[in-house]
Amino acid sequence: MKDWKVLLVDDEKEFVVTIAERLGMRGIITETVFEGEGAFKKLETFEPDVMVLDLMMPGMSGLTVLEKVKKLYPKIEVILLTGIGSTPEGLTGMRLGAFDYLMKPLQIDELIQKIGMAINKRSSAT
Amino acid sequence: MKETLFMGKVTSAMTHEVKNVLAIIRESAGLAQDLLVAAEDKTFPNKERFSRIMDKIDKQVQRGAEIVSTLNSFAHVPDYEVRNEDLNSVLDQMLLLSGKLSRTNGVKFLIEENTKSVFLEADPLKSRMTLYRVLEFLAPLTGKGSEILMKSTKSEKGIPALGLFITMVASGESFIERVQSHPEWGSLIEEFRSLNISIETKSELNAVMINFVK
Repeated sequence: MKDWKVLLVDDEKEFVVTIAERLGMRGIITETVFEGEGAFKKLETFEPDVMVLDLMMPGMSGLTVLEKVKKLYPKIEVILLTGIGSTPEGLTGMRLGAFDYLMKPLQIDELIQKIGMAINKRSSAT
Repeated sequence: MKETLFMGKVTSAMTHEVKNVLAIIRESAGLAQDLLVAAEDKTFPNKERFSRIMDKIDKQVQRGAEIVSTLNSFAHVPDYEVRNEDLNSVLDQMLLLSGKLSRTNGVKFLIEENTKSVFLEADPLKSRMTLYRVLEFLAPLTGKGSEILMKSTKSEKGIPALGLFITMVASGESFIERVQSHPEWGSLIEEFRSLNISIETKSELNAVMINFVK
């Protein structure tokens, strides 16, 4: 987990901040933003290995953010967070290049496992 | 139908909100657990108890998430006027959504998994409403400690059907007689007839059958 860099993008601040703290306690370098547009500002100074991206956000939707990230930063692997009933959107996201999707509420171990798998994929591609 | 669509839409949106609340509760409890582990404080007198409470929170979050997911899919039921669906999945959904009805009456609702799919092409809201109405009618009649085993099946004529098999703890009189003599039974039959659904009793099986006539 050392040197893993993760960007969390979700408008649920309490959720994102808590997840970031938990990942941080496990040695994962984590940054947070609370809306889609903000993600691109953050990417100018912080390029993560993995972006954990909520699908349902006000303003720029998760799928729009995903499309743009894959175009501008193709090396960043994206894990989508879906609510309920949005599994079709999760599948759409995978067609658009997302690494995988997870449903809320998360299991932290599952999230870390997926981040690890995404980083392995990224490493083997380079 | 506009009204049910509206109800479904709002309910669906709210289930997303509840899921976010559950996610925050889970992560906050998880963080508290992480902090406890990281502190390695052997002097904390209630460490094991604390961990047990955190586990309990996690299990309840999981339970809540399952209920909310089911409620979300239920909220989308009115999106379809007619839908071809497996009655087994209808039973799975309604089993979770009738938990309160089951506990209030002290009656256990069970599903006998049918490995074969029984497809029904119908208004999905009506099929659920029918099942719930029949459970609502039967549960107080069976009494505490009884069981209602639900199974998807087909009638002798090959019509998709649901069988509700009743196992009672103590019964002095025939359960089926009690059903048939109940003042509401006749009106239930009439109510369902208008929906092209027939309900009938099967004395030899101690069961009530719901037949989804075309």
